[in-house]
Amino acid sequence: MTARDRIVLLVVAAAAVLAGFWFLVLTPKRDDGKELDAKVAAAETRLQAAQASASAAQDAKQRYDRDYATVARLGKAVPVDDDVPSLVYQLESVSKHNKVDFRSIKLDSSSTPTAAAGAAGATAGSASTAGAALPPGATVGAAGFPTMPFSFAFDGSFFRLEDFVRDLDRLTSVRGDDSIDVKGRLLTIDGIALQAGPKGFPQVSASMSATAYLLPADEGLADGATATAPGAATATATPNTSAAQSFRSDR
Amino acid sequence: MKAVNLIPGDVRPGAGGAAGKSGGAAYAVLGALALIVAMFALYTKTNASLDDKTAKVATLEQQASAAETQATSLASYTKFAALRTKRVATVKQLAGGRFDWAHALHELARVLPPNVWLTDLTGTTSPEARVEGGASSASGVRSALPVPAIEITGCTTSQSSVAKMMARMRLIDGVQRVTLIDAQKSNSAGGGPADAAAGGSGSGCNASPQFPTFHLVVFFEQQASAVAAAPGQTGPTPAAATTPGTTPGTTPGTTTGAAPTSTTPTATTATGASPSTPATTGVTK
Repeated sequence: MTARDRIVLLVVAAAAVLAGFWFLVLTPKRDDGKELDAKVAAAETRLQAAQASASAAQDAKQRYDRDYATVARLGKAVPVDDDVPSLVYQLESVSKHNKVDFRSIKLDSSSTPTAAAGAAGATAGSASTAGAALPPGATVGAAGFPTMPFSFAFDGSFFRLEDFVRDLDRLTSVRGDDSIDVKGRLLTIDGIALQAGPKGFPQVSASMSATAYLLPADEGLADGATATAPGAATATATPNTSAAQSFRSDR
Repeated sequence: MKAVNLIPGDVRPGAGGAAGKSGGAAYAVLGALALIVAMFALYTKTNASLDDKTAKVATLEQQASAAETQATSLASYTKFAALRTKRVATVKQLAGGRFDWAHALHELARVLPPNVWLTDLTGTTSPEARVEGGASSASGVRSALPVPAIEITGCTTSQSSVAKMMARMRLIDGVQRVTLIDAQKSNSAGGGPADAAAGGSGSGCNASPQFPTFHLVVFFEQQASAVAAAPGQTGPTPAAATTPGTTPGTTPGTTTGAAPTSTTPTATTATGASPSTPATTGVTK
């Protein structure tokens, strides 16, 4: 065996050892490393989600008092029950304020839910409330949102009536800063019919069809929560990205 | 003269060539050692990296578990916050998507020509909406567009005044179309149906058989925000008129006329009787 042969043999042996080390020892370790990288990424994602949930939950806990007040105040605009006495009182109050004669209120049990009710149901997403313990006369909207259609009749001046309708809308209204001003029942006026009064225009007899809204029966006003603590939670924690809202109650 | 090295070949300096005396075995051993050291270093480094990653995974999972535990313990608060957000969104959508009837009536009073008398006015947010005592949509004109509209019945002094009335209606904030259903003069001096609706006040069309009675429908534009606020909704949505801020209203009959603008009279069908919605309960004076 010449010296050149020995050198070649050594180089081949070294290459074989190196290849064996690479493929038999190092490659499995590198595969383990890739798996661990994936686990680290998954764990980081899980941690971020958990931290976001925890942060949202902490924020929710800190502003629970305000949230509860908001929900309670919204119950004035959209009550759990039909709350017709309060509605009649508010209509009478607004009509007196605008010098309009509040003639009648009727519950239209045969009316179909309006488009507005359907749209609201899309947001409410409470299809499970369909037919569940609704007050007599209430109907369930396209997506399960309870509504109550009413007909009202008023006598008065055209311009007084205009003010009356404006005040009716202002019982619950969205203000310029995107907050909700809750003074009374939320009503959607679906139609207005004006007919000339005995003395002709601007004295008119007005009929209105309007929709009042109810909270989903399976939720109630606060879904089991009290002023001091929320009800038992069954849903998993999710991040809350809602913007802060402010409410004001003047009446 | 040629130099001759007389020292024996195996004792000369550098004997054995590059391999030296050992025949290259020393280099081979050194190379093997270097290789072993390099492989050991690589192995150690890889192992250390794996250990680091394993520890990091454990730490992250521990932190995530702690955060999840905290979130779970406060889940009831999160759920209530979600309920509040949903309620606010629903009420805002309902309140913000309403049609601004007050503004529409205000605008109507603002643009009404002085020689026009209204006897009946019915506004609905959609063709499906019904108002007790309101005008009928029997002509089908109202149902042509699923947007808020006002059906107006009245009378004026001439057919050209009807055209002027239509042009004025186009000036109402948020109007997209004004459609004439009919405009006809009464055959009798006693006036038409509009006079009856006016209660025979003497200020209606019975002043002259030459005064035409008209029926028209004023269609408003669909409010973009109302459509956007109802994702997935397939039906019509009540729209609101655009932002108020026009000139102050005046009493009907005090606004001066304007040059006619483009209007779109499309139908000349007579209106029918007004339907009434059955009521089950109520309080009536």
